[in-house]
Amino acid sequence: MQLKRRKFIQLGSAAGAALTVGSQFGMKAKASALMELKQTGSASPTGKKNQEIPYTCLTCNIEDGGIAYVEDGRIRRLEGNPNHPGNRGKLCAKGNAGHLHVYDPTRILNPLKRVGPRGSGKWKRITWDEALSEVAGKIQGAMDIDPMSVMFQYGRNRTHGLVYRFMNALGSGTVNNHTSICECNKKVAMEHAWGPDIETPDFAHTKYILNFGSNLAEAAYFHNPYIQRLMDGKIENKAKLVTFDPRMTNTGAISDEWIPLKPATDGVVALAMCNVILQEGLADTEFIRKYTNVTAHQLTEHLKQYTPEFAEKESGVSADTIRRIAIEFATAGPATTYTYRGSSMHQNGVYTEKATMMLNVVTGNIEKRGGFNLPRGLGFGGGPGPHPPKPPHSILKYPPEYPLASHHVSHHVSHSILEGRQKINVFMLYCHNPLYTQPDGDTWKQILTSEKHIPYSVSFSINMDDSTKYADIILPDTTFLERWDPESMPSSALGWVGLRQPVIKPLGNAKAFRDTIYELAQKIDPDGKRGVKKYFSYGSAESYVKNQLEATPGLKAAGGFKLLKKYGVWPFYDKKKEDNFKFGAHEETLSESDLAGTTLEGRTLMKGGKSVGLMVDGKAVRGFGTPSRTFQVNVPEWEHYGFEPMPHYEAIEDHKRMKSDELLLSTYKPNVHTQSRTPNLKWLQELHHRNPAWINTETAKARGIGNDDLIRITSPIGYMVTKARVTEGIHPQVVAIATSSGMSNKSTLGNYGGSKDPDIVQNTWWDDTGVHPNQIIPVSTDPIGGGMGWFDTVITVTKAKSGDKYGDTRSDRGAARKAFEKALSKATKVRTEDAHNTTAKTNVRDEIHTEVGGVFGTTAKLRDFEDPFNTTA
Amino acid sequence: MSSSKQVNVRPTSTEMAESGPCEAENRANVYEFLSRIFLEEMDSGLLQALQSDEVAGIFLDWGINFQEDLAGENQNEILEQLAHAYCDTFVTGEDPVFSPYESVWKTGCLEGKSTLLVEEFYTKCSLGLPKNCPEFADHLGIEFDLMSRLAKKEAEFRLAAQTAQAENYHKFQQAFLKNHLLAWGPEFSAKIERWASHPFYQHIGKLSCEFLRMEAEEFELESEPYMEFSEN
Amino acid sequence: MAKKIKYAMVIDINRCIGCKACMTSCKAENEVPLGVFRNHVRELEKGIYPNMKKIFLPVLCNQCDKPACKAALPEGYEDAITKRDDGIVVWDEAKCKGKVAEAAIEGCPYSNPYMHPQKNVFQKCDYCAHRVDAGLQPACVATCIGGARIFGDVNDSTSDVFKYMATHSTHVLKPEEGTEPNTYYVALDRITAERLEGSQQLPPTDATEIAVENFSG
Repeated sequence: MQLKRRKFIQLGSAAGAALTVGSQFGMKAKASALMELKQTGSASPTGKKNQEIPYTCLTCNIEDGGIAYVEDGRIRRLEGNPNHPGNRGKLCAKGNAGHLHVYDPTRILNPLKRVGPRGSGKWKRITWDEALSEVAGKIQGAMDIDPMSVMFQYGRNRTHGLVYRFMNALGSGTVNNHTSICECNKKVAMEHAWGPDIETPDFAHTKYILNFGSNLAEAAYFHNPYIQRLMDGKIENKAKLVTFDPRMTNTGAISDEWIPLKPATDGVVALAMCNVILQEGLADTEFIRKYTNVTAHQLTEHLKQYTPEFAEKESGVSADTIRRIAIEFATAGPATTYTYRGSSMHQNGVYTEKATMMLNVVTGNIEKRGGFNLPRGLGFGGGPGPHPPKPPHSILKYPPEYPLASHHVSHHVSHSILEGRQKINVFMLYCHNPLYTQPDGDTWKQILTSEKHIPYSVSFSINMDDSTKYADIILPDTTFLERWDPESMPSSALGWVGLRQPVIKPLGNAKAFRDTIYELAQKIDPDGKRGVKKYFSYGSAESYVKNQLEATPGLKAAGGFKLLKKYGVWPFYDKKKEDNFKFGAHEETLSESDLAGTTLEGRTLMKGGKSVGLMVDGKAVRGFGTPSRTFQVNVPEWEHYGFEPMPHYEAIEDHKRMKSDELLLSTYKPNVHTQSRTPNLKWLQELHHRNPAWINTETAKARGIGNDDLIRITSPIGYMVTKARVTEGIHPQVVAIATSSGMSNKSTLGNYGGSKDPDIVQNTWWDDTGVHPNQIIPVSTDPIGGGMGWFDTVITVTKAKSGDKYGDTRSDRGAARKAFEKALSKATKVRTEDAHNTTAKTNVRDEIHTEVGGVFGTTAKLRDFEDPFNTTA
Repeated sequence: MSSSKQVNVRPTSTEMAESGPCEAENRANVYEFLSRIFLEEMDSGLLQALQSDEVAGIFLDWGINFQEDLAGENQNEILEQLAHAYCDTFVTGEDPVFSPYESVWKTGCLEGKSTLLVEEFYTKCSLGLPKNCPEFADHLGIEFDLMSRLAKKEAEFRLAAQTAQAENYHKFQQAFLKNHLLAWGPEFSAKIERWASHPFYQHIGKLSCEFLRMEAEEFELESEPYMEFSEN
Repeated sequence: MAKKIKYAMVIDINRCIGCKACMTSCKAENEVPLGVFRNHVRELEKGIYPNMKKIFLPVLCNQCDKPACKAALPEGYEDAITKRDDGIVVWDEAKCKGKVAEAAIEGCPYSNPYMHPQKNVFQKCDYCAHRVDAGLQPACVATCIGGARIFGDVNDSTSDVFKYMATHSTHVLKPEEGTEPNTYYVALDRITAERLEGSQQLPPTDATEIAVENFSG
């Protein structure tokens, strides 16, 4: 009786609270006639009413929308934002744990200055004023010598333009991102093929998904939003999912077929499939004729060399399987491929990405319902004017050996600085841990510890990490729940812009990066004479972000920044709109005004020096975002630099020369972690803390290796000692190791003296936090895209040698240097003086950062494809 | 950073002054001193005071030689060493680090339930959090500061012969010790005594631990048993 | 007169992607200590390369109609565990502790309840009763990315859970135990089809890899 009465009272008061407070975040599920249970809402154990404040997640980089429940000024819980078109109210494991970042006791809450040698762990606290004065002084000194000697290296920078504003104002083009260890090969392949650097497949309405090396069920772009649609497609639309991957990932697990293959051979499998499709007369030759820059005949002839038998020899996938899957893909109805990251993180990654794209081209699955589609997103602005002029590019950012690498070659930077390719006086590191996340971490350690190579270094960071610990000054940044950023990602067909806003005040003396840069600019140029201050006179970070977002077409009319603060995203998710979304942007006819003043060059319509359209059977249509406005099957720019212009498979020489006992090392991201920022989040660390090396049962047996045995993995530049996980779920020639383990900085769990928290001192049931592999992975580079070949490393694996200890990791500097030089030797020899001004792609990258702001380099092109829902109404 | 302070310390219980207000005021001063030491790095004024014969002499009765701890080539160098030691002990450094927040101690996170409870306590006893409070409410230094202010209030009211009010503030102190400070302060301080990298902070840990044990006796409360440490 | 509410959950194994969002949201929502779980996602593998298969099985408390945990309570402690009118099985921490709790935990054939490591009391999944009472779905349901969890009043023919059960064939875990669970599975036969004999016990590299049990159904 008592329970029932209590329940009734609870129901009464809580339901009332739920209805009033939660009503703006609707999305009901029909639970019963009596009561509809809402998907998300606050039900605090204290019974207190919580504030519900929307935010944009950054536990990884998918930018899902969330709602923070704040009680007594503290974030109690996070849930998905049901109004968000991307993640539709759901958060992944990482997102659910995101607020643990805010309250992590190892967080840095005050500026720190080192008082011992770099990396000694000896620090003292200083005030912000002292810190910024010192940093400003160093920057001024460096500017007086050469502005380009001020360097900025960032990882997860979500300011969408602020870093470039700052560095451009200083007159320095020495800015590096981290994209070359991420998806730059894929981006470059896509940019030259169709304009934007990513795709938004219509998974929900497809009949077939051909997945090359993506682990969408655990990670990838965009894990949460895309896998939701993929599951809808699989279950409701009965779509078939086929996964090519050397490892049994969770995506392989949910696939109808998991087909392992030798790493770096996805391209030849894809091209062989294209060959089959063309040979069997199943190709969409009309699409090829209308929208590509080759004829079906040319393509057919070219692809003849990629027979299924040849592909079988290279990849290990049987010719029969290749034929069968090709035919299935071509006859399924709408179909799409999906890739990233397994297929493109190779020395042949650009060619591979192009090859897999071709499957959609030959079957005419581009830009259609259920197909492989252009990314949809809403852009936002580049912030308030004035904008500083662009300085010259740094040779570190755009090394001339990689003229097509429009996304920098960041993993070469360590070696380049070491050899003195460019003099650096001040090095700034922002939200990046290169010693851990880049290959050949020891070279980063060399430069970070060397005052000769890096006389002065600053790290903007939330926690101490393997790289930040070598800084001279640490400036504490805020977490994503304590700051302002605009956001947009093409994570669904319905484009959206989102807001990241402080749901609580920043903890301690942590200061949002935007504010730090603003204040630093004032200190660098107090009287305006250096010409920096005028670009930093706009006021608050909030006003800057507001300016960026209110430039989004339609947002102001819909309610502007105020609306975004209240709801977190705009427009809201609309299932009907998404289900009825019309693709075919490339086929849109140009209007009268679009056509006015155009000239024709071949089939391309030109206006004001830019290509704006394509003639297709007498009609003027938009086409794709390439110089020719076609889908460039043949890429003239690649030919110019001595690369293959047509779809091509380039076998990796090292792999061809592998000895019979040699294997290939692969790394991966487990589903509950990002690359490096999540091991301090206890619920995630509990689920995944150690990272034994996956090794095939037969391969292990042949080496006398049993499960959990200590093994030594030797690469061309070093070795590591870790444990084996013997499994049937991996290709016999491949060994795979998860990242996000083996950090040197300690989390609180299990080894923190200053707490009696039971979870820390008693309930942490593990002590093995793994061994990190990146130090023994040599630099290796795709010569076109400039991307790191993460999954190409040839290794030997043996039982551990006598004296080996778990965790031993050694690398040889000479060997690491040799590997770097080897990578460079494969680069193009063709030099163009202003290589990075010759193609629209590379120019566009810079345009985005300084003028338009954000959304992955696609904004400029997306302005060609207006939101079909006409949000300017 | 604050300037030098007059430090009045009551060394041993047997030398306690007879009258109530004086005792409360003395206790307040000890709390204020400890608060200052834990909240911020050493400054030149306080350093000088602690090095002086007058002040250092008092602490000798506690078995603490600040003149030895704080000896050095020059004041600036000593201050640098102490700033490093402060960071190393409480903020970040080669382990172990002892984050001086009650909620980290109890629940392994910053701004946890304890922080909220201490904030509420401030409201309950009609004291506001210090203006421009530099730290979370459950920082050991802030908790010492709270005790100092409560003890001062008690002293004021005893001086004015307002016994009821004085008793009220006496009770607040007892409640705060029982629910907060004594739940973690002595053990935390003992860890500082054992693990701090600088003898000054080791002795501060000792001082803090012993003082809190005396307070426990004074208020007839249980304190955490003194921990004998083996390894970490 | 309307039927009284009866909460049930359907888990569609075809939709589970093994992402562990449910495990994490449960920990966050219910402040579950490290080392114990109210909500597991088991990973089962079977086969020999390259014909290897892997599947995920989320398990949580079944809120049984004849709860074995309750039946295992020692005499005099029967009210330590109660089945609510709406079907959710709840417990009284003041009573269900120590030896009483141990007995109840031991009694569950699904191994869902656990002893809170510090409080020494019985705890388990309760379909996030505090959320349900506030008009919200359980945390695991709310966050399930694959859409594998459907929850609601199985007595209401208009509810999502009723409709799902009406259009899908469902099974429960260990029906032979006779506890009458209220968590139903779609495609559970995919797991029995994988079969114990063929499936491998995963090495315990983390908390989710637990010995495969004999699921029939």
